[in-house]
Amino acid sequence: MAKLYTPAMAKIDKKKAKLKGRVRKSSPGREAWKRLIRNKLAVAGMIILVILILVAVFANFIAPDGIDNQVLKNRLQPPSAAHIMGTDQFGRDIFSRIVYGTRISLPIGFVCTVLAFAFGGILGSVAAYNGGKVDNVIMRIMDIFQSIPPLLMAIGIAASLGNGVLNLVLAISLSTTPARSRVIRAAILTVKRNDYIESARAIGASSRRQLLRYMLPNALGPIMTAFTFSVATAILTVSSMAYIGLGIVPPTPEWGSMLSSSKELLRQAPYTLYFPGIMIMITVLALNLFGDGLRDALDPRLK
Amino acid sequence: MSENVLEVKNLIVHYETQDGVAEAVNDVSFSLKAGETMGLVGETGAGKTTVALSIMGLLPKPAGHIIGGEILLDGKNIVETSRNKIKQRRNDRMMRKLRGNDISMIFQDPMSALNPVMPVGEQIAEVIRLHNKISKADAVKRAIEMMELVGISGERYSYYPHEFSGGMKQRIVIAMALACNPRVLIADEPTTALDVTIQAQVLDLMRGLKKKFNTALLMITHDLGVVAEICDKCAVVYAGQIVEYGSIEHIFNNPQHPYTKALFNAVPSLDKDVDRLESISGLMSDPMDLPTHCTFKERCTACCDACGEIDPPLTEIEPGHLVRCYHFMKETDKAAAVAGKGGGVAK
Repeated sequence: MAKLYTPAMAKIDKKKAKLKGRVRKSSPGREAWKRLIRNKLAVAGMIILVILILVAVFANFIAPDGIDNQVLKNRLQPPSAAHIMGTDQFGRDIFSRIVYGTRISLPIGFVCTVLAFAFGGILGSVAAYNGGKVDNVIMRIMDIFQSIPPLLMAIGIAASLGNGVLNLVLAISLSTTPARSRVIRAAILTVKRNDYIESARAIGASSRRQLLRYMLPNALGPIMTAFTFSVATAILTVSSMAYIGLGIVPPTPEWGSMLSSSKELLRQAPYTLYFPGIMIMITVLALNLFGDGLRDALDPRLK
Repeated sequence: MSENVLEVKNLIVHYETQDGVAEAVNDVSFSLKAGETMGLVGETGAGKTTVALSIMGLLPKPAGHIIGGEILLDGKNIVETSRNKIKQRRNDRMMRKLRGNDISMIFQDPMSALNPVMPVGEQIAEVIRLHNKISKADAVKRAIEMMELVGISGERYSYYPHEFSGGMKQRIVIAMALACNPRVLIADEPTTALDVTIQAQVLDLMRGLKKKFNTALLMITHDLGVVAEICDKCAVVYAGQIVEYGSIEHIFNNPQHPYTKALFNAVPSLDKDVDRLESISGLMSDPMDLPTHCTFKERCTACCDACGEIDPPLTEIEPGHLVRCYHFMKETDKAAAVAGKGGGVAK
């Protein structure tokens, strides 16, 4: 009997012909990526994030004006062709300040999260790997810190350290460390029960190797998802703190501090509030969409 | 006669839990020579896997403890019964060097025994690199050789476990276990998760490789067919004790212990039509609460009053064939055991 040749098979053959000569790869990461780009919302979030990152990188080319260029005769102009987002009470171009603002919110949010995950990762994975007493001691200390709301703790740390970007980063990352250590501990505990961890022990892998080569890579899914959401939270925290005047101070064009300084203008010039607010919203939304997609793509149960 | 590669002497393992102490392995002894295969047969919960994990030094912590006995690898004791933390840690470090190099283990379920985020070839190369001081390129070459040896094309070095079938994964696991040419290989029900045709292939492969590398193989299974297929000798385990021990001919042609007989009875015959499969009535004694008399008494069809009094020792009924049953005890031992029992009551 002649072999059936369906259109689907033809399509695959065409793809194969195109890929010929290139190394065939189907790693778990690649599979997850394929699932991720099939998710439209996640792709939308990703595109927004990429745009924001590009804006941050090329801010000096995009912004028509400086961040602190005060032209008093142009005070509180509504959006127009010259100033597409209008001007604030000092006559500064809001659009330019928004554009430069990406250079503050994104990196700070990112760095805070990286630090929080680094601290939390060490604590959480050590706790999860060793179990027993070590786990108990570390996690009870984390529990104590977690009983303080993270924002309050960040405010406390930042207030005691004083203003400045570095102190702000430290404050936010330390205040979120307990929650992140929980995420990582949980992820590693789930992976730890798998047979391949036992076979890693059976081939004589050291504990560090088991942790770094076997447990962490397998636990990366939930960790990466939590990471994306945490960046969003960190950006919100930075803005919240800037709003109450902690951490980043004017004239730095942080979105939260822009909101704060225009709150008295709500009646006369509401657009001074709209744009920073919308930017915070868009950024956080994009990160959450992306994180959602990432969770779906990385969770093997949803395959 | 060649030296024993692996010798287990009077091994006693307990699991200490909050509900009590489970006596998982009670006084198990056996030995293995290079190139020899021993089957460890018994029902679920008899302590087969615990014996294997004790040899590997991988007893689940913190519950599992080796209470007594010795495990000799090439004549060197590898068991640390002391609870002293420093001694334990020193022993752990030594065991880590041995694992994968001198003793390897094949796990029951190949589906989950491989790291899903690492290419299979790399996993084999990793074992080699862990135990040998060789360059990465050489390790890769060795790994590819091992893959070819178990019948998987070396081109699939960078494939991930999810791209393999169960039988192929088990082959990879075998390649990993044998990559460092270990003295002893422990296979914990290596074929249970595979279908019958693949089982035969895997057993053939293991037999071939065992001969090639002259590895001593400890085969843990509850499948008597597998034992007949591959083993030289066999130990039947019941409630943490060896109840019958002997060469494959002893066990299969001349089973003596009532439990062994009942096991063979439970294997359906090809010639006879039966409606119901034979089974052994009752349950195994709770390891938390083992009786002081013969552990098989409650389920035994041949038990007598004395069985409820005496915990019979392993008795040699013909050269190399040992049985743990009252009915095979020497008369002098019986008298001594009864006397000892009486003394115990008086105390």
